[in-house]
Amino acid sequence: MSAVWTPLLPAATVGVGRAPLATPDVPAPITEALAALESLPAAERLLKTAAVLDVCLQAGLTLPPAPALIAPAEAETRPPLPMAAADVLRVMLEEAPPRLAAQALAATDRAGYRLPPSLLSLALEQRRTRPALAPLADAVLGKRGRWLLATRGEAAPVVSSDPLERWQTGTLTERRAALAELLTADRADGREQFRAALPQLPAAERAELLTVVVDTVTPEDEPLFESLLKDRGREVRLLAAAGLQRLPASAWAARMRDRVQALVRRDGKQVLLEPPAEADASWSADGIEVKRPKHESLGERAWWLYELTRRVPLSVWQAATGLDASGLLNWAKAGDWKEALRRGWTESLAVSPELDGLLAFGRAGMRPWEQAPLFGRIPTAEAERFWLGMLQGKRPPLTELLGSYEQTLGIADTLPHALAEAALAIYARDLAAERREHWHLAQLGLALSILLPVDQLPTLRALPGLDSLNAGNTPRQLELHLNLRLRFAAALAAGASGPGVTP
Amino acid sequence: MSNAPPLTAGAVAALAPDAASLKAARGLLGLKGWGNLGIDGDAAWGECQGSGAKPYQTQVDLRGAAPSFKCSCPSRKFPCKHGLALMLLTLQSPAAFGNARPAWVAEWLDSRKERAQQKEVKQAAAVQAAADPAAREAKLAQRWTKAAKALPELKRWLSDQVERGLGTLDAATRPQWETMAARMVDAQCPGLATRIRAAAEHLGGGAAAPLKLLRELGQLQLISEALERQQTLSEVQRTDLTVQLGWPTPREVLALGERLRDAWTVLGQIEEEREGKLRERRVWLAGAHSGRMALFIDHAHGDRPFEALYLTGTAFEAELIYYPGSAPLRAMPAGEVSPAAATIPGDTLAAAWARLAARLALRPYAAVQPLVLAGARLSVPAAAAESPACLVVDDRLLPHRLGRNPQERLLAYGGGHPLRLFGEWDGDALQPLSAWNEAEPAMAPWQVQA
Repeated sequence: MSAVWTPLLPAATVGVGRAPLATPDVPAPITEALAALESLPAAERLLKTAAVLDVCLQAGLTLPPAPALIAPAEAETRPPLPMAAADVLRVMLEEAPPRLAAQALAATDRAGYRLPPSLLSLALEQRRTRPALAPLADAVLGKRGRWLLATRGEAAPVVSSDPLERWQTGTLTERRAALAELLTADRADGREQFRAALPQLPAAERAELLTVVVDTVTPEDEPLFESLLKDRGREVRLLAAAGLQRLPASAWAARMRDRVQALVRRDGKQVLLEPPAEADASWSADGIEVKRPKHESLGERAWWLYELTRRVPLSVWQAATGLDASGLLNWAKAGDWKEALRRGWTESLAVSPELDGLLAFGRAGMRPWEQAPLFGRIPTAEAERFWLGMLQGKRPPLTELLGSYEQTLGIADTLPHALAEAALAIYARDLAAERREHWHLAQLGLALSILLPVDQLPTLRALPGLDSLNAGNTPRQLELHLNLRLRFAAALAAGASGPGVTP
Repeated sequence: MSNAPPLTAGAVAALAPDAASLKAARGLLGLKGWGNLGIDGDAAWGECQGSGAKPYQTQVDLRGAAPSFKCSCPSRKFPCKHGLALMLLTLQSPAAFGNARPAWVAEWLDSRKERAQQKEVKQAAAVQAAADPAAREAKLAQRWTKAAKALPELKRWLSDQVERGLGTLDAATRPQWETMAARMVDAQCPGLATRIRAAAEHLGGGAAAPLKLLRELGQLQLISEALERQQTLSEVQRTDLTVQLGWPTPREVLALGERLRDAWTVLGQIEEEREGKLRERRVWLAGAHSGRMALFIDHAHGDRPFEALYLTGTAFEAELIYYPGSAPLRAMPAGEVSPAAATIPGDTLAAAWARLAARLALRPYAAVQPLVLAGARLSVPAAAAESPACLVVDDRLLPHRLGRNPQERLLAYGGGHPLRLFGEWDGDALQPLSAWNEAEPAMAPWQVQA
């Protein structure tokens, strides 16, 4: 508040007559006007002085000098996203599923554009509320966007190029990425960094980071895994075992193989199974859980059988029995231990995926809870072949396929091309024959509208029957997705402002 | 060609009564649902298949400064999703539009033209009605007498407050102030009552309250003095005073106001909630040739749209009628509107203050005033990079009332570079309404309500 009022405030606050009233310090013509009021009774003088000052302040009597400001934003090096595309991207950011916005942001970056200023505020908001979009948004913020971050006292996201620095100072997510880089650059050194950090980490973080080592396991990691079999964290012990299981030449794998082989006896054509009668003293040291959990449905011997089964690749069972994957399933079905075996095998497949086994299990009708652990673990190319194989079957699991990719696909990625084509063909068939409930068909269409590569969207849109689905709001949402993605792609391809849009 | 400025998808979005309508409209952008799409210089039309047997006839009149919509669908939203979708389609798929105007479109366009003509005839009649001044004069004389009688009471009350000391007043004083406000209503001076009630909001407001109260009381003092001397005032000064007292301006007097034809650029606009479900919209206009400013205020109830659309940064040629007064600002458009080229003025801070001082010298009552500033920069101090951002013009710090989101949008828009900034100045701070990037004048303007 302006200082010109100061001489009036004591009297105004406690009452005229109780404090002296001084004439404010103002430029000359106003001083004269105020001087003319000095002979008036105090109350009147105060009110009239206030009236004069108020009018003067309305005309901008005093404004403080400006502080030094930060330098303005630098000139941009990339062109802004064309207006027509920006209009679509705004809708995607505001009201479409994050995947649509992520695909569009990634495409913006690939095409060498930056976000126009009108989208920056929204993009920064989304960057805060949807962290998954942050790296994609950061790539297209441009100079203006980074300047805007600076005005908020947030440093522009500087990603250190040194993985060791990120490993030492980063968040858990950043450390994961940094560890992967360190391991790639120098396996032994990366492993040492990880081992050295272990004592300071809580169990959950030990497990989280250990998955990075397990996913890229090499034979030299064996001693590390061996030592982690004694970790206090259950999850860590399980992961260490999983790592060793992927090293068929490890001593641990050999011990496990021997234990499983001892359970099987071949008598001519017959294959006989003899589950463990009691727990071996050496099991605990190898990470086997001897004690059956409280609410476990398996009996004690079945539990041990399951514990051993899940620790060896399916091939160990194939070798021990002389049966292939579907042969194993049939063999188990005929016996008393099918529940333990089936569970063990499924989990083993999740750790060491073998395509034949996966296909055989898939065709035999895997149960949803059995599928869940598999999908996250299968390497991309394997998964694609697995699903392509599954789609050839009599009842193609389209829902499961889309659900699985929805879970595991990178946020800006779309289905692999061949798989997308196959899925679309099956969807077209189902749609034409109305093979499923309308709401279900609409849901599948909706998932496809998000996950299909953009060049296959016209095919989806042209499918007969798609627009006559009776399923509430879903068909409209589906149409919105198609519309947004196709318009964005077209606007990006056009490269310039679309028709009817002002420059 | 159409009279309307070319619309962007963003401008069409701005026409939507709510987000749901816009969303629904976006769901209608497939060409499959549409038939008989067409567009020509005056209108756009199409038939949209809805849930009924007969498709809805959707049409948009493009002749005015802003599009007008009509649709045969039963929606109470206006414009409805079909109208919005039709406008979006003209942008998205212009190739799908023919140009053979069907009978139902032609009929509607004709009827609209007819109605516009009838409205003008009515306005002329209102001017005629002003010719009965005797009754009006008598009523006015009665009002002045009543106000004069209440004046001593108001003056005494003002003195009482500063004698007690504004720091001793608190929330418990409010009933006494309310009594005074009610007395002013009895004296048929609702404008004074409103001021007293607004001032009473500061009671009990802590350390800053005495100064705020003093400024409000100073304004009341100013009005009471004018009232005391009303007989020595000029006719137009008396009119200024009646506005302060809250007396209605009769329609016939308005019709006699100054008429000014110019190319009016829409400088900025703001919509605010008023009591009940009333929404008030203030649209600020700048005349390219006269250099004059004008303020158009209109109201709408609940979800209903305002009668006409004004796009900030566009211009139209029209005659405005100013409300009478010494430094007239408030005005309303009269008669036909045709398109014109926009010009955005810009003052240095000194020029802006000089302009404002000249206006206040004629009419000193506190009111929201327009400021158009050149070379304004919004940024953060180098010493502490944090919000709130500083608005700097000609090396002075101008206090502003930007909320968090508009501030961030304006920062992004300007990037710390010079802006041509338009806003409403209330004597304390500026509420920016719109801005143009001086380095990139072709960029669509920033607006406080986007």
